[in-house]
Amino acid sequence: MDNLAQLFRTLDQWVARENIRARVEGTPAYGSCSVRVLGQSALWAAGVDLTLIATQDLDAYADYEWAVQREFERLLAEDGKVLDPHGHEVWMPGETRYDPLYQGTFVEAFVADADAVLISKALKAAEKNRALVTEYLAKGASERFFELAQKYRVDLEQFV
Amino acid sequence: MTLTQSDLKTRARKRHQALRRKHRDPRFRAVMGRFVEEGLLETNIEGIVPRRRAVPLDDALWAGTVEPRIMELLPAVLVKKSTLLRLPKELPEDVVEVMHAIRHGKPMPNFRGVPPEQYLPWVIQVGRKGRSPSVLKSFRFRHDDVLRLARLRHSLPARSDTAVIRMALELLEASTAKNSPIDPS
Repeated sequence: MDNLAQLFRTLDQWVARENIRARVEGTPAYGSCSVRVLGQSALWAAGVDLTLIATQDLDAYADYEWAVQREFERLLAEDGKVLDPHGHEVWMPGETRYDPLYQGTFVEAFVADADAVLISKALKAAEKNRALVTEYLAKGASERFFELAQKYRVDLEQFV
Repeated sequence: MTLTQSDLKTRARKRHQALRRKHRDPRFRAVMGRFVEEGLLETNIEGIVPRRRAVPLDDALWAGTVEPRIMELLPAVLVKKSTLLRLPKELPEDVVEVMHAIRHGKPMPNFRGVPPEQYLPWVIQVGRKGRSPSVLKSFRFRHDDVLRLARLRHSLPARSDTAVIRMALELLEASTAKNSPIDPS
């Protein structure tokens, strides 16, 4: 997950090349797209001070075209990763901030902020993420995390 | 919520300490090392050394109680990449049950608290990617059907009758595909 920004750069370059080819051939070019990385991958990319154990899958919200998604999946596979087909169904709080990870010509990528990711995990997959949330609480969770927990009725006592 | 933020932090610290002790357990480190080496998991836990030697199933089952992602991967590993594990002569009953269900396409049981919708996706990702175990099914064909299969096998060309049927099923499904609701769990 360390080279996620590089992966988006490679994807951006691929779209640029394909669009040059499309112009030459007179076929439709790909539009710009935006990818928002969620879940463990977002925590990894943000470099949070938490113990992370992650499977190969990457969750993301994205508005890319099908061919761009296929190339994204191919690039992920080269890195031993797989795009979670249900990643777009992940629930995130409305207050989630998406921090820039990569800004290119055709591709821009963002990562969800750690508080929002942890609230999502605490609410939707508490058992699987018990250790992660407990560690965050132990290390002193942010005020914003507690506010989000209260708003979305996350029972934090289950983690202690 | 009845505990204050400070109480939560104090209690969480104790729990976290207990978990860190488990992370230092040689069984956990060995299992993590094996799964990391295989590219199934990645972690920033210090001192986890990727290792090629198989780990005992019992240790993997215990490590799965520490890290749920290990338990989530285990059914797929047992079926698709069992060389990661050192299996005992007699497997636990629930292990046999889940392996049988995956291999034979039977209704999937929960595996030590992990529902099938969480462990099944890994079956096609572990080992030979994109492959799930094949299931034996018997059908009675008329003579005409058998001849049609043979003709299609040569004309497509396909490697086997099964490949012809697989292609036909994919085409049929694609031509009749409707948006069906997906279970988000």
